[in-house]
Amino acid sequence: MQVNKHYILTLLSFLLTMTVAAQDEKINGNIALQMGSNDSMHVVTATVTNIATLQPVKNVELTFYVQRTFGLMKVAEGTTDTTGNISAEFPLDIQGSDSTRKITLIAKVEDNDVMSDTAFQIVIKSRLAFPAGKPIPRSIAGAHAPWWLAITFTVVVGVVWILFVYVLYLVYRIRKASMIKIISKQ
Amino acid sequence: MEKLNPEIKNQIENELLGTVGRRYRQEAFWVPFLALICIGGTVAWIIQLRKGLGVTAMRDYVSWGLYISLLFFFVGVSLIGALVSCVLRMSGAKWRYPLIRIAEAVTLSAIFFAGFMPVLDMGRPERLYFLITHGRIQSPILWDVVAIATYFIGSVIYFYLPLIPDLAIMRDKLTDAPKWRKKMWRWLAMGWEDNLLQRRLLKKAMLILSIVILPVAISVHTISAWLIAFTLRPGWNSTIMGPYFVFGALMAGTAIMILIIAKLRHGYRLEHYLTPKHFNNLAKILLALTAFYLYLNINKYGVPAFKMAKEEKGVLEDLFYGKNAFLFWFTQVVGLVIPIIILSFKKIRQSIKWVVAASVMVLLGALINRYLIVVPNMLHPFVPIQHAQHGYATYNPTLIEWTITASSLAGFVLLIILLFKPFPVITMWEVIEEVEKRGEKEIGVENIVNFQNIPGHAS
Repeated sequence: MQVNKHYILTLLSFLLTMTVAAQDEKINGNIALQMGSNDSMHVVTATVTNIATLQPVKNVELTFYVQRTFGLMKVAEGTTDTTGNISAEFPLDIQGSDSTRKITLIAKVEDNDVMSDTAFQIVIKSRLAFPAGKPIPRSIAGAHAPWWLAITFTVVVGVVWILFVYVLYLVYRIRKASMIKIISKQ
Repeated sequence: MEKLNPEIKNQIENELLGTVGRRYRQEAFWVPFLALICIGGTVAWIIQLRKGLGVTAMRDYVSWGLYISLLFFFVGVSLIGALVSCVLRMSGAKWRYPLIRIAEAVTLSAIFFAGFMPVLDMGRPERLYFLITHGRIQSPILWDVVAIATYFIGSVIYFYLPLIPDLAIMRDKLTDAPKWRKKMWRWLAMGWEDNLLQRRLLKKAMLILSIVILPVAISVHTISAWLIAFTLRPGWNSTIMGPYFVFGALMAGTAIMILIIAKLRHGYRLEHYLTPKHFNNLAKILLALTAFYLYLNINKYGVPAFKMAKEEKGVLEDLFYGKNAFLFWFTQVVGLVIPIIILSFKKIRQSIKWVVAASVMVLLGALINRYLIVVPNMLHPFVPIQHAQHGYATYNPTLIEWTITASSLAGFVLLIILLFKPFPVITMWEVIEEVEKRGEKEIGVENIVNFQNIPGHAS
């Protein structure tokens, strides 16, 4: 029994050491982003280096995202080459997220065997003007209801409630009618 | 028009006033029993509020479960008031008079709980306020809230209007009632003296409301149907949903009306006023509605089943021979086919027991059908469910949900019982007026001059 206990403890210690060692094997990296463009596309080049040795890291899967209002939109992905570089393209006509026309580009290393999770972001300007001053048309799916719907809804509900009020007015007149009788009796 | 003998009139009033403040048969059991279930439901709701909707079985896919199924059921039952007060009024059915107040009480109670069900379904009910401040006119959810609120207010007014002359009778006759009740009757009677002007005003108000309330009632249930029909889901993406809901509602409402008048007839000994003629006539309406609803079911399920489109296949197979097959065929056979057969025979229709039995079947079928409309369709979305966590792609209601559901049903019945505590079950002045005009037979009452007074406040 004692032997078994000793054996289990040894095994657990071994597994723990292996796990820590496996974690230690992952390197901490750095991502440098460089932006450019051609006629129709933004071109982003990422360079992944080892923080400790400053050497490029190859075979690291990298994903590029653009920040949107409620989350990240994936625009490209790939693996670094022997120089630690990766290039990706995404459309030039991508809209900025606010009136300052800012596009936040994020490069992420996630769940990678070689490198710990790392992210780097860069802010660039969109070439498109933000449509802030442009009125958003009323529609079923839009923020504001179409006029025909708003008017129909208000009129229908309004007519019903006006009739309810009128009926209550008739009830009030029933009470008044009682007073008339009292007065006429007097 | 032959005036009733004042003595007989007085006796009718006394008999009907006898229900006010009188203990309903077996009330000592039913009221505490129903109240206990309501307390249990309240405790369950408090737990749900404290711990969140995680205590229910509702997850990402089935986000509407028993609560919304019951909302559709209550909204449906509430249509009975419109049927009795408006449809039968317009069709000139004079036998409706003894049923009017019961139908309105059922409507009032049903629409009250219908309004409560979405609140139960919300994890944060205090946010209901935002629906008013930030509501989108394009959303059927906003229409539903407005329609239910409007129908509730309309039903309160419609319950009140025919009560005014009866309140005056109570004010004048029930002098031994508790002080608060006398005060309430006096205040609500609006100084009613039964003069010509008051009668004219009351009839005008009732006529306007009976015309307005019908489209409101239909809109409430149609909008409830649109809540699901406006979404792109197999089984819901159908144009038949509006009429399907409305006629299903009228059918369920008629069935529950039969059960309640059977219970009140026995409980308050109103055999002279709620006669086999009423049961027979309501059974005929129920037969017509059940047959039509079966026809709608054939269209709703038969047409897509004939085509068996890929998107509809999953939900239809689930209903026809899948997990929900037993419930589905129960609603079709026990809830529709058997009642149609039973009610087709004139002799059976004249038996109150058989009519009640058929109504129980229809009502059970209608209740289960609401569940089948909501849940199986949510489990079969257009984008197939993949890699869902355990318990996310199924729906087995938890004890909390069952308790809250049971308490809502118990509360619905309890509210009806309580509504008849301070008010008479049957509209006295209208029954007397119509008996004077047309005689007992046409109103459906029997031997009302040969009755025994039962002790209540009136005696």
